[in-house]
Amino acid sequence: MTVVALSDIAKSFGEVQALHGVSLTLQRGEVHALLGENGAGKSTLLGILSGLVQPDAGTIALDGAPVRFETPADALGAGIGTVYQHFTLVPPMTVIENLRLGLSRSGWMGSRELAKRLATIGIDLPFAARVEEIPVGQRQLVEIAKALLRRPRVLLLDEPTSVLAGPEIAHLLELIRSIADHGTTIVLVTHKLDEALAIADRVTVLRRGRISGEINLRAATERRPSLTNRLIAMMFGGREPVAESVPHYAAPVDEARVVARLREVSARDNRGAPALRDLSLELCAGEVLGIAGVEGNGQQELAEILSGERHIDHGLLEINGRPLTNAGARVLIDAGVGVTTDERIAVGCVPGTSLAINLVLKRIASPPFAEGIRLHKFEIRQFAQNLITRFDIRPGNPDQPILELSGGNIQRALLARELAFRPDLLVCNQPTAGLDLLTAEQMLARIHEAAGEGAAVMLISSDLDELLRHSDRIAVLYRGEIAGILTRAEFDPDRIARLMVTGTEQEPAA
Amino acid sequence: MISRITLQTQRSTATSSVLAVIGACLAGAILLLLTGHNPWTAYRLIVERGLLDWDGLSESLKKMAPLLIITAGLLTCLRAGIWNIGIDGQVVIGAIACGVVAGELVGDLPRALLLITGAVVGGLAGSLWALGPAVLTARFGLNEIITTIMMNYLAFNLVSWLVKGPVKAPDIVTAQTKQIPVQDRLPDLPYTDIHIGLIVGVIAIIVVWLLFRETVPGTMLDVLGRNRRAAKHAGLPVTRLIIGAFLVSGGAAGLAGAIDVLGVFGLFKASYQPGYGFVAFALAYLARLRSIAVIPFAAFLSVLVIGGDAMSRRADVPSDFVPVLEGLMLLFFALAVWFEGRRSAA
Amino acid sequence: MTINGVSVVDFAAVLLATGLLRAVPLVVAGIGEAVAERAGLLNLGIEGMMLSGCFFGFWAAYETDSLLIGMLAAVGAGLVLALLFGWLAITLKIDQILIGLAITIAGSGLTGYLFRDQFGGRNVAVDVNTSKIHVPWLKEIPVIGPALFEQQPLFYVSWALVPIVAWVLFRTRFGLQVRGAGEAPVAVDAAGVSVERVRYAAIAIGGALAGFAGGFLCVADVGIFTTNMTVGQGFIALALAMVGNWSPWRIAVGAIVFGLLRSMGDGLQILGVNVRPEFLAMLPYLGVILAMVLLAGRTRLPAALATPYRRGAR
Repeated sequence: MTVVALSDIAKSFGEVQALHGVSLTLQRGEVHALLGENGAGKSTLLGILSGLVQPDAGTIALDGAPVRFETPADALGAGIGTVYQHFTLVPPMTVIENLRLGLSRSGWMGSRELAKRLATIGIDLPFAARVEEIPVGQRQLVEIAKALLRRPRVLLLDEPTSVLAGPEIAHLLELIRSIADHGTTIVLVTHKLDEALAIADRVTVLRRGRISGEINLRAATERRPSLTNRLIAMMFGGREPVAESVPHYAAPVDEARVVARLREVSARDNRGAPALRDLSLELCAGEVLGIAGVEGNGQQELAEILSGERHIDHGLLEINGRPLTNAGARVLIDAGVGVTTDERIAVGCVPGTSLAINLVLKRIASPPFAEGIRLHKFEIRQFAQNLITRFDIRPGNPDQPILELSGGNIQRALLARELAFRPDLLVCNQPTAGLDLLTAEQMLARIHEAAGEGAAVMLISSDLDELLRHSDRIAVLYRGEIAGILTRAEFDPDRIARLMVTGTEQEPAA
Repeated sequence: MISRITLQTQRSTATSSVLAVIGACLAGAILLLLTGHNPWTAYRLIVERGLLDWDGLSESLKKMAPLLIITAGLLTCLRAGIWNIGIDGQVVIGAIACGVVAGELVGDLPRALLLITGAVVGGLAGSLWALGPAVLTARFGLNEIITTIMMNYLAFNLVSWLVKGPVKAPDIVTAQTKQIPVQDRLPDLPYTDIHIGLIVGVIAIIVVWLLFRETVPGTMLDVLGRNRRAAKHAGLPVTRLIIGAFLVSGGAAGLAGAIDVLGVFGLFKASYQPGYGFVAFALAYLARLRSIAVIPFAAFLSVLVIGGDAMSRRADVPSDFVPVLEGLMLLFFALAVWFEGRRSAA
Repeated sequence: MTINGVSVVDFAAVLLATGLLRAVPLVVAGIGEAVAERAGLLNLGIEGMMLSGCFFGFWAAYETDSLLIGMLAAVGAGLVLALLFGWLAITLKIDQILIGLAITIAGSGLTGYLFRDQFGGRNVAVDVNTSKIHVPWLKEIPVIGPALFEQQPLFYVSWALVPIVAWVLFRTRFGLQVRGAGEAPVAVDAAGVSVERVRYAAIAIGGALAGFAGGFLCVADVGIFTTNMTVGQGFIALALAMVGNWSPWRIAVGAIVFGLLRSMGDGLQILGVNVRPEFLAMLPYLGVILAMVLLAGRTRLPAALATPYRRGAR
């Protein structure tokens, strides 16, 4: 029995077309997996179903009747519950308060009632703990519980296991299966093939905003390996997603020259909770060190202590042998540390100012851009024009307000302003996020050039494939510590994934 | 600490400011009507006395001087996203410091030196009064809105005590400092009644204009106001910039107070509470935080204040009408900016 | 025991009684501001709202000789300005600091204008019933007795607002939504609750309480209206809200401290201690700065304070 039917859904964000005419149906009591790579359009589709995003074209029908979800409230009212990938929890409130808030539209639920309901669902949570104090995996469970408590007809899950560890994943998958068996329709958005194969009734594969294939697993007679291959083909169009054996670039690594050394560095996040715990790391000239990890395990803070934006509570930071712990952004920049931020606009750009100003901002007080108090506007413009040409920043107008540039060009500019001064340590935080493949490859090529000229490069990325292809070593961050470092010879996506999610290489207890 | 200015839209024009003024005047007219006054008479009197009458015009131009100086200084803070609401306190502190020092040194110094000393003392006193909140904000991240407002009330009380006691001029009953005789006060512009404070005001505006256009600190302050995180990320000396902006703004306010003493009153008296602070804010916003634009709007507001004073006496309209207009102007201005934002987004 | 002929016990009693009385506008406006700020709205218009409460409460009470009508008018005045603030800040998403300052300036000007226009600036007094209640037995307790058990009914109503607001904030779903709106509005939106409506309600409470505070100050306490009679008390209340970590109980403590500081002035005069009134007047303002410095590390602003909510903004 068809519960929800989507017809010809289309959505674009600015210049990017996220979905082109997607149609799909959801049956009662099924687990329907939405599979696809990063950027395939899964989250957008989910957003449309949950009322967070409005489609540009197409219709949604509930029980055969057309509906419009203008706000999340509409979707909730229609019985569609969502567990988002970015948490919708209030960090300083307790678990129970967050659960109550989620239900507040219908009233106030007492603690005993809440406890009873959670027990029926089969989730166990520390009621009185503040959300900001519990580990990320538990926060995910709070999100899920919040959605389930409303007894939705349709439950949308956006990458629910991305922050869970071994036994938790199996537990959750069982839970999902049992909820579906009780009549709830489940949409499982994921990029993990195994999970889809494990519990889904049907799988729809999205690729570049279009449906590239569907498989009815219940009806399929093939064996698992063959199904896996079919799905991989639909997801990637036949391309091998696993790391290529030889990278296009191989810069010589000078292991004798340690450019950056972190020794037992501890730092806290914005809420005061520990983010980096006694972290030790070394980067050598010429190497590209990839930093892998689930979002929220300290990558942000790591980049920020290197840019001087965050205070180091304990430990030592050395650049080229000089102790520069808490020396401040100015000193670090002058010492040859270049950092491109992941928040291109919020931290990387100064709204209302020109591209030229942004390009020279980190060295605006020094010659040739200024002498004493006086700004040398001509030299600034010249320098900017130079960078525009070298790095192909478009359109090529140095006086243009920076925010008028596209995301890709802003990224080019941010990278350009670091590379122009030949940093000894280059830290790139998510440099290719949201960029089209061509621009991404260009960025990475430049990064490798820098490594070739002797810079130590730290590449922080949530794209494991990218790290596998471009790093000389990969360090996995887990809960603020380095859980493991693998050299190129040891690269193994499974090992790394396990380190990312559990922090150890041991198999979970069966 | 909150420090974001959302005023400078990409294409800010004078239209919104002019619309704000018109809107406020209309709303003001409605208020006048509702309370049984004739708006036409009221506005006519304002224009007549503030602008068309020679004496009134001189008074208006004289009034511009402190407004220009203060607003120039205030822009330094506002463009950096720093909310220095302590102007009123800084003005009176500067004024009393100048009144006391200049009052003591009358006769001991030639006129020019006396005036310069008085002005400098006033400016320094104003800066010092801003130093406390400056440090608290820059180093400890405390909300400067509250600290500067508190400093205002501290200033009023401190000054009140001082002028009634320790620094009161001897042999006089009223609470005031020693008087500076007319011949030692600020000279007037040739052929006019207007003291040269007006020139100081214009110079202040030009200096700030140059600051933001051509200098490193000015650009840095601008960046700080537009995106604090980006400023930190780029290694800008944020603490020094914040303190510097406060000192400049406080100094300008103190200087304005000194100019009032040296040019208008010749002394500091207990009743001196010109309330420039809020007017300066209104000015800064109407001018979209652009230095040069301050001049015409300051002229307009001065005419309003002087004319309003006369109007209230002649037309029996309470003198609080002008502050009402100022508040309304800010409100309408906010609406105009919003409207402008919608049109450019569309 | 006496000093200069005045019994210390009597002195302490008067000090406490007036201190608690002076604390009322601060605590009421303070808890109102706390509700608004917890929902994410920085209301610098509080001073203007309080002053409007003063004036319109005074005017209504003067015309009707009724305390109740006066207070209703005061609350109404604050509410109207609050809704204006809400419309500009929540719906139009205009910068809240600008709006707050504009409302305070306009409010100050408007009340001054209307006062001079309607009353000619004379010092007229309202004639309302501010008679105190006297709780038998308990009022005999030295020092505390008169302070706590011999005040006018409105005094008790005002202080009762503290536990009421605390209860609303922490034990009702509305309170949850308010706190969510200021910390993580996306959580409120995801729960299907309108962030805008919650914020409107919060600022309405803030404005109404600020108006109430002003009404109390003018009508129930001082009895006459003078221009700008709030002299920064609205801003002190705002500071108290921040320094008190937006908790009604802490704000109450802070308000009592400041109320006592203010009543000390009168008290010391009674004792014949010769201190300049200006020094005593300075104490509350110094106190605020000191409190801010001492508590600097421990106050954490609501994450979404002064930030309009835009769905889907990343």
